[in-house]
Amino acid sequence: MTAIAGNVGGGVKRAALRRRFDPLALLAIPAAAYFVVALVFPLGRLLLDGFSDGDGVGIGNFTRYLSDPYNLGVVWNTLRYGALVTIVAAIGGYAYAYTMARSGPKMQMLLLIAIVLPMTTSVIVKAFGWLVLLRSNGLVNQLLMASGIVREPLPLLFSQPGLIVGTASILLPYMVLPIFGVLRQIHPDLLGAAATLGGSPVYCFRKVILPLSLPGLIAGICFVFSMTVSAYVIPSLLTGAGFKTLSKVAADSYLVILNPVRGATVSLILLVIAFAAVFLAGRVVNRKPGQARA
Amino acid sequence: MTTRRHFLIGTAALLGAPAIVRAQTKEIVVGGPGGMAGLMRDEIVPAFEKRTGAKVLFEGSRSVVNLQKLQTNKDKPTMSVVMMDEDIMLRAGGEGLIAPVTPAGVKGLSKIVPVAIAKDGMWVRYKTPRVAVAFNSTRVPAGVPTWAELWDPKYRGKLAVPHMSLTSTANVLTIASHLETGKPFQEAQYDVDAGFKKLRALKPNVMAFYNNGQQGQALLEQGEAWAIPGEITSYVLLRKGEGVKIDLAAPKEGSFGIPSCVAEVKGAPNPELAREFITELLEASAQKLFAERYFDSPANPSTPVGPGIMSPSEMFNTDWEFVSKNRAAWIERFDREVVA
Repeated sequence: MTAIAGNVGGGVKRAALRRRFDPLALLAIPAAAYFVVALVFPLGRLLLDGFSDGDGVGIGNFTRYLSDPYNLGVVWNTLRYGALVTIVAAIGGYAYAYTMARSGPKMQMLLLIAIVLPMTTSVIVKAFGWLVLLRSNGLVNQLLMASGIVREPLPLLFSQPGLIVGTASILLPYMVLPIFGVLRQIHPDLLGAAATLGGSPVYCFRKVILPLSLPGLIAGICFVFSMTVSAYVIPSLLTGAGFKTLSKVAADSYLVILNPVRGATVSLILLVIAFAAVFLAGRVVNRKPGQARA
Repeated sequence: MTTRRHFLIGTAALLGAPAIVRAQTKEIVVGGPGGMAGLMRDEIVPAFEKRTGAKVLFEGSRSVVNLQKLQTNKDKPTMSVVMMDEDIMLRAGGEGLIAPVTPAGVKGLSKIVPVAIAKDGMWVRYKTPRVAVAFNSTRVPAGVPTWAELWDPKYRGKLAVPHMSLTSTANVLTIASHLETGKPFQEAQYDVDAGFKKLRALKPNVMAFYNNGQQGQALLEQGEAWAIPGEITSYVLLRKGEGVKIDLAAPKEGSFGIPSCVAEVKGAPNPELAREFITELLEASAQKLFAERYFDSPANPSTPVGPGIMSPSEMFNTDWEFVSKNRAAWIERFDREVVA
């Protein structure tokens, strides 16, 4: 009995060992090596530079940077830019994803192609496209004037409204796709049931559709916000040197004024902001349904 | 067929007499601006090779990259001649990477304007692009007669202004200081506080600050921006020649030069040939090409030039040493005081 038990015990151990050394895990080595080279080393360098303080280690770079009102203005610019783009993309993206989820197969495919196709184009091309649209004789100003909203063309080029609308449109797929993914799984009968029970369309949307699609919306917000606050090419092309964000300051620190410590400090602040956004979003999604309603 | 025959003859010659071929052909490497590679390889280098029988390898790159090559190969330079912007040449001179030229070595020195010989012959300013006010000739048909006019309310929201990270903005700072204090350029360039004060006053007229040259140029060509303080001949007059409705003013207060420089590399192979190549750049034939293709002011005054091209001695040459020492601080100050 004991011998059998021992054998059984050994078999379990071997099985456990096999599980621990699954040869398939070796497939992860190239990706892990790439991860180490492309992320861990640069991040380590960033941490070293950012936390170097005189001869030792400390948070002096951060306190000095954040105690300057001009720099706080840059942080505020970045957060406001991220928030406004996310709001515009969330409103536009939700409406688009909802229409897509409720369309027939052909229409759905068309709408999907329309949102995915621009992702194959370089962000530089899309930003230049917006430069053409926002010119004083561009399509946006022509539409505004034709509809009688304005008499004179608005100075939209290199303006903050132009930047926000342009960025939101470029990042729209990252909002639409996660929302659509969740919305298409909501059974249409649920809405019918809510309506049968006397819920108005607005009530049904607010109490049934929105809570059920929240994980998709939060994922979209997460993507768009973190991509916006760290965007460099889009604000550089759409506002030139006029609107300072943390990512622009980081790039200038490395490329123009050759101050890697400043670059690392600013990049780490940016990283904390992006992580905080993802963390907060995760908390909201993981809340129990009862808490979500509260 | 012809190509193959030439190839065969060439190969036979090489195989038959390799030692003679190698002994007879002297070779130098010239490092210069990437943008000039076409003109150098197609016209200037072949003319030089024909005249001297030597072989020239032109390596086109940015000034900073050429400086890095000099620094890396300091003990055993491969490059014999280097062509760079003046602010980078200053660093090369400071690090002892270049050798001074003398009229005995570089025969062409006697033919050029004195202002083209920098730092007692440390390097030569073989051509000088001019910096002034670029304007859209449809929007401003009468042109821009003075720098001071750019502060006029009629330009409200109509100027595209280069960021301090772009070289020519150091000149804009000088002109701003000159307008604020009335001091001549020579003194005004050091009165930085006055310059920043005047630049702050320009802000209502600014539609965009840009740190990418093409960005400002697109705004000007489309007529979104009416004028740009601190643009350069080689861009503006080239595009004007292509039919774009823009032009470069010759403001009453004066224009600035941003010299393109050439020097002999210290300890380089074939120094005599290097000096001959520098002379070649100063000959009227090469100088004419620079003036025609880039609209840059020639160092050799006997070169025939078209309209809008001044002599380097008519332009103010900034103290680039002072600029490069202070640029990082100015960039931050520009962001805080002018852009913000």
